[in-house]
Amino acid sequence: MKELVDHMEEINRLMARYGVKFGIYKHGEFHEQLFPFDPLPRVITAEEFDYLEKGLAQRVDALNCFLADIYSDKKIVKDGVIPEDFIFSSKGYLPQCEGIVPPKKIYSHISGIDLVQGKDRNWYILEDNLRIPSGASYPMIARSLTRQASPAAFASNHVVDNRNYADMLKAVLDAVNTGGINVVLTPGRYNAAFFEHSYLAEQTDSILAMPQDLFVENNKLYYRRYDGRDEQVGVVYRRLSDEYLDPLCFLPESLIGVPGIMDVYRSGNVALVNAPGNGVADDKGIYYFVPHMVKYYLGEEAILHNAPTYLAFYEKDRKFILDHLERLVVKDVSEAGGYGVIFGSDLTKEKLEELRQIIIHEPRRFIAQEVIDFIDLDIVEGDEWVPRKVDLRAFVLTGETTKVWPSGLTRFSRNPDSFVVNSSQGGGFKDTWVLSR
Amino acid sequence: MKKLHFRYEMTLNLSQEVVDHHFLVHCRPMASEGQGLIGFSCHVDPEVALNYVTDGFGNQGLGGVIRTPHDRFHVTAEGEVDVRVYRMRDYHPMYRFQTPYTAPDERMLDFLRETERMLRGPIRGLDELNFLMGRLYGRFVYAPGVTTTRTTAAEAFAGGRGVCQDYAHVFIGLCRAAGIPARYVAGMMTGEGATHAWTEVWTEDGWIGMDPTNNRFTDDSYIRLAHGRDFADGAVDKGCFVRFAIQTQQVYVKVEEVTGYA
Amino acid sequence: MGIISLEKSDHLFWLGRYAERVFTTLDTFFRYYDRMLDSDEKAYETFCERLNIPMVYENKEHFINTYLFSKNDPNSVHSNMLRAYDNAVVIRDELSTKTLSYIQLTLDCIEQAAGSDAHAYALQPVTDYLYAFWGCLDDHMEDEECRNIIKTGRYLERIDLYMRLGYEYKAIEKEHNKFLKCLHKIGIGYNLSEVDKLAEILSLGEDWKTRYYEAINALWNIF
Repeated sequence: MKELVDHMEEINRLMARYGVKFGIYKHGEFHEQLFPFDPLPRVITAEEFDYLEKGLAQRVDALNCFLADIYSDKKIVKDGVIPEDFIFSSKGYLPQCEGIVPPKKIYSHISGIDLVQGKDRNWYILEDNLRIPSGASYPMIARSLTRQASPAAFASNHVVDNRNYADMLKAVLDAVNTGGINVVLTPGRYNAAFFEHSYLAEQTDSILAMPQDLFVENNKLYYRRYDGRDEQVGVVYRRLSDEYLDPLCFLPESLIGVPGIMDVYRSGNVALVNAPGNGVADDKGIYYFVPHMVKYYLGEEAILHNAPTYLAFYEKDRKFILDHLERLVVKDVSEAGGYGVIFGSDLTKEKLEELRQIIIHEPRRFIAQEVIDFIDLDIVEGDEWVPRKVDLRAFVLTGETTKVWPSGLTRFSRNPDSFVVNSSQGGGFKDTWVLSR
Repeated sequence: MKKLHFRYEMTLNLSQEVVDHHFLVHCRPMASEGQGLIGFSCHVDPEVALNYVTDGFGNQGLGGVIRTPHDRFHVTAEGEVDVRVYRMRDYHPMYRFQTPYTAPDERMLDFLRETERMLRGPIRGLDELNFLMGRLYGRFVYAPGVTTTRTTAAEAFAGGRGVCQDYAHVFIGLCRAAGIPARYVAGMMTGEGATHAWTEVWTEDGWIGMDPTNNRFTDDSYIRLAHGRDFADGAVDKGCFVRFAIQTQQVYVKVEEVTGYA
Repeated sequence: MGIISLEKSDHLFWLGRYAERVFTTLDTFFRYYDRMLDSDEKAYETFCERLNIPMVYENKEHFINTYLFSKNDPNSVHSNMLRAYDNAVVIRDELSTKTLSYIQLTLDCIEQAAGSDAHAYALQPVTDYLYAFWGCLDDHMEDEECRNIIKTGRYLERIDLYMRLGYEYKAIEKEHNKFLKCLHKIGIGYNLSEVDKLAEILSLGEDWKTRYYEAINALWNIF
């Protein structure tokens, strides 16, 4: 580890050189900033990874079954396992996608599953991200840079190479391609994750496209070439939100998007990665039911556990939430990222009461969880090593089969008192080492 | 049972020439229970190829794209339909839940509770729904030009005036709040004028059409074109184009019974 | 790879132009800088006149700082490099991260040099990085057509600057030949009669200067 810390400066210089940035808006202006990298890696043993791999693949397989079911027969609802309220009133449920059968019936090709490890060493799932999870590019490029800066650290530690993410991703894109080129669709240069879009396009030999580069003709999707020899597109790894994909299908006032792309998709003439409508499965409210899905679709017990969660929708749970609000963390299911997360312990008496009333009034909107005391890992700050809260976003890829990338994005919070490790709220990242033995 | 002849005309005038104009028109009566399409033709000007497009709600539209510059878009459709009173059975749980268009505010909920008090119980069947529709009809005034296509049920209800779209949204919002699944239907009815919109409520017998604008149940003088959770899902015309232009739309609909038909 | 939209071909072309503009104007700048140090305080006025840059500079110092480092001066080296970067960052998939990194390094170098009092020394890496950029491009950019588009931009810019800055005829002729070689290999439409006109003027040898404005106009009207 020492070599890594000694070469911290070189690594950060290389990060700047390769433009490893993310964009943020401050006072309405776009800024690019470096994503702070901490040289001390998180280490996951081979045995631990084996456990995580099985659990994550199982979870994502169940989520894919759920999505296929919801947009067709809805058996899980008819069988009373999940109340209709958690599906059809969810913002992520898109009736426009009813009846669509995506290529190879895969909905979530790239799943970003957020976990934390408790001080009891148990892993807990915090959140599933099945729409456009971002962040894989950072550990990907970080590894290639740390290997340059401190080769000795890798020679002696038996770290599984994670630079295969691009190959894994390309295999997924190729597996669902309906005939034509692979395209990464970015909303544009001023998107927070533009670096990642352009980097993944380069690394997977895909074409980086802006919405205006694509058009529909005769129920097929094309990439408009400068010399008129247009190319048919077989798969779109789109980093554009569902509602902006197709103004004819979703938001008519949207100025971006590709008119008619949803019809091409419905006809099976192009694959969209990930499928539109996945939001119904990664809603903070549906999270509660994921272990039930594993049991229902796969007939297995869930290997990985959720954080203990209460659903205000159920009367019994609601009562529990109202009685124990001061020790729980309450999440607004309609908010994304680290927003809409409230720690009961941070609130004054009046504010607690206010929150109680909101929960009573809109029970469907909230879940509450036990606060997990999750582990700290050291980060380097100046000449010191100081402990900070960390989580892990695991990337699970589903093509011909479901595979877990032997790495992930370990994020840490800047603030020593904070449990929130979302990159949109500050914070940095570490490399994640999976050991081969 | 009636045989109806219909004519649909839509003209979109644009203040400036536009290009890459994508459109989707739901002007072809849906082949469904209680509604058989005998003949149908559709023309667009500028003339381009038309594709049949099915959406997630089960609506079938005609789509196309005009790439060349134009400042006017015109659609004419004509056909004959066999219409009977229908009981469609394509239930979907999404029609239980409010959308931003239909979500009731406190005023609407008060109105609903008041109605329930008058009924001495919750709204369950058609009789109660009919009573609710009658009360809405009594306090809402038909007034074109007061609301827009973006007006929500709560806004329209507060203003007390609006057109068929607003009547439908308010009624849907009230039905769903009362626990009755309801959906928005766009279509045409016998006579001359514009397209029409009404509500379908889900009962043990299937979907039943209720027209709050006219305070009546629908019958064989109504032709269904599209349906959804609200106006946005079931819009008759949708489109987008490149370049900026102010649009003015005119719609003309004429539906007549074909006589001498047994 | 090598499947590019009209917009991307535009970015390639303009990346070539701006990267070249930074490279050649900086080189020329330091020749004028040298003259300004002792013999000719007002040399920058000639420089601006030749490049058709509005004379907004108050004195020698103001010119040096503004022309090199001001983001608000659209003609500054920094502004031109920002435009090169803007065109490059959106075509990472064509350029490769490695090639793009030299554009990033150039930009960072200019930004960091702003505070230095030894301008020539602090900006020396700019030339190195840009050479590395062109070398890396030849090495890593698979698609020949893309390479030719970016070089078409580069040589067009170079001919323009060489003509304006009074380079020797031999030098201009050499760049003109390189330009034509690239131009014939790309699929972008261009104005053939203007290409012919430029060739005709340059065939006059040293006398091309008698038709200076005609030559510059022909060059600008090719695309």
